[in-house]
Amino acid sequence: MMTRPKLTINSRALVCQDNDLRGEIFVGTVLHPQCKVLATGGPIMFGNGNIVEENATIINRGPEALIIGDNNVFEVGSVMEGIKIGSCNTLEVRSHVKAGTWLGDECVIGTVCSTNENEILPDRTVIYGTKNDRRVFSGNRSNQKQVHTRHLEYLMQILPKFNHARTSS
Amino acid sequence: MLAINAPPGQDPVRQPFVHYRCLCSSPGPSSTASKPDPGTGGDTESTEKETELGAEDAVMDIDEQQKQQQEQQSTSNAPSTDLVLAGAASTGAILQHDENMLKSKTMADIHASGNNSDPHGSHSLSRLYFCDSCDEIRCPKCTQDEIVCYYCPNCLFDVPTASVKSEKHKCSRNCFECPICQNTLSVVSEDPDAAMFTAGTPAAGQYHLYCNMCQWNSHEIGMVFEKPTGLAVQLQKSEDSLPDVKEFERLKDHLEKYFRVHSLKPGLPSSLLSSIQSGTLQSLRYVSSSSHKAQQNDDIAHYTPAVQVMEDTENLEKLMSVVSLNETTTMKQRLKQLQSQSYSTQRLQPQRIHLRIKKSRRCRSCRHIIVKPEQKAQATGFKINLIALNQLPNITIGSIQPMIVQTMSRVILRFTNPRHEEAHVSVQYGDGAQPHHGVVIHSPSFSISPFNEVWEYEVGVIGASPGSMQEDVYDKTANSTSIALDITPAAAGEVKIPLLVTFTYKARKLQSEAGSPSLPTQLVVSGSKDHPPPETEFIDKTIAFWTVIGFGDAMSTLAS
Repeated sequence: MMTRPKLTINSRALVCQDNDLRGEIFVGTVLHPQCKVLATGGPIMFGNGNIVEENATIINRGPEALIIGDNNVFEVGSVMEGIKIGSCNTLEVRSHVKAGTWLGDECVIGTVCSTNENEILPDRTVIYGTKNDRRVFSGNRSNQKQVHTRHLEYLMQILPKFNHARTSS
Repeated sequence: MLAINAPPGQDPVRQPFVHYRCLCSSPGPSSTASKPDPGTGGDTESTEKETELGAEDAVMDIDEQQKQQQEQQSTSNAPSTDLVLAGAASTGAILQHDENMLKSKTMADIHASGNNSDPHGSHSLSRLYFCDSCDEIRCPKCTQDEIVCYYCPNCLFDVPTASVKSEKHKCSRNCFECPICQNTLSVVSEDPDAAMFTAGTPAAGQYHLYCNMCQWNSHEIGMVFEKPTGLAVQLQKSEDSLPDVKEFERLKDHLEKYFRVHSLKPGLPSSLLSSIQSGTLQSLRYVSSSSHKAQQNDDIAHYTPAVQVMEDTENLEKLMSVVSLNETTTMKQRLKQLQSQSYSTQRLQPQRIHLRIKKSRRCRSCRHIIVKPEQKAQATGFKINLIALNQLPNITIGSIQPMIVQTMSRVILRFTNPRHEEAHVSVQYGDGAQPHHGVVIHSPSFSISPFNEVWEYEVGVIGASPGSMQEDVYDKTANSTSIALDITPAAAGEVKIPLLVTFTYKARKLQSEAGSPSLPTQLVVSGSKDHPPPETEFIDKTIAFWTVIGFGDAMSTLAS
């Protein structure tokens, strides 16, 4: 028996209809079809400019709210079970942020990589490779930010053409 | 035996396998002559003649002849089979003095050559080749590699062989690998628009290298470029200025002077790979060491290094204070940068991507090419591709029962015909296996329908084509036939049995073979007598080979 999710959707957000949302969710973001946002415990609060792609899963099991910062990308098949996530993070395809993990800003969890449980990742950590190698990168990511803004613009244009959007409930 | 074979810490359970034996690594008739084999009548004669000949490749060719002779013999059991010695053309030089030897070779020789259950020298079918002019299985050992072309795996640019060495076997265009994670780097502009549209007006230091995998950025080591092209040249300059590289160049110049004086080849031959394989390198080394050894010690001038590489005390201090391993380079990163091998990740440089080669394969005995890829890097096909998988029946284990000592268990072997002609197969158990397991082959001789592309798309089981004779086989589907074997293991341990497979199919007679006068031993037995005229274009070809089939470990009792 599924209860209707309690959705609060920002004016600049776009939530497609064909996805699995449960619990109390505050959205200021783009949610692709087929993604799962499960606020089974406390609410999930999205910042602005996040992108949650197809088959990405965001779960909050704990009693407290899961606060997601701005401009994060949850790519296809990624799983987010952490308790806090900053801004400008990228969870690449099929990456896994395990329960209790605390993500800083501008982190990149590489394809099929995962974090440890109950871990605090400092800002700009990259996890990559088959052995989950880590490094902290430097250098500017202005480039990345531009790409992200364009990505958002494009999605806001294209997605409503092929999908029905949800409204706040 | 079981304990010896099993590597420490590894599960000793052996998986079933089907291996095909290549004759090049078989012990040969001389070693098996001592064995009590009922059919080794011609053995002693032939070994004597082989020793007379001496040369190794001559012996190989004899093996070939011997095999064909055996084929001839084996087919004499089957009624009205025509046979051609197709491999004879290539071995013309040896033919004259071999004809008498051919007669002395018996079927027993080839029979003895692989009649044991030792899997050494046998391979799975996918690793083998089949030389169609020798009509023999060839393994990686009895074929040789040759370089067809060099290319960059990233930009797929064919590099001419002449410039490979000067470019240090690395891509001289825009391909780099990440110094941190060895992934391919991409050239990125600061301003994404500029790269697309206004490449003509770049700002200074606008382009940098960027790794999508680990987010490494050439800004980290202060590396920026003004143009997005020709980066390799720019990088090469900085690499050449390293003291170690300079020193190596100087040492090379110094020694090359000496080499030229003694009229030795200054560099390695360009076809190094092939010369290693064919053994010419060894002879070259032998000559140089014997004739020039004495002078080498005398003539070489003392070399004084121009650059003194400093003892790196600063580095040592830095390393002593390292807390986290992430601050130093890994072994892999250091080995990728042999010139500097720095400990600090800050000093790692992006590396040009190593070139790859395409190889062709040549049969060692008849010198024919067995595998030849397309010349271009972009093309993935093969011009010549004589792999065994396309030409010999593929034997797979259909079903298997656990092996228990002194208990009969049934095994289904499935023979798949990859050819477009119908094939007749006969299977014989090699009795030279140690220990000698009891093996009953239920239908030792059967036929397999030809391969047809249409069947690949059919779903379900297709029965034998109508009109074909109903055979006493376990199962017959599209282009495969299954037979049943009853195996009674004699002792505990891995059960391996040798099987001699004789495979006959109708081959289209090649024009060159038919018309060539240089084939004195070509045998087309009664081609016009048994067949109507249109069918004389086809001849029956018979190939015999040994396989070793393993069925896993035999348990000593039912309870275990």
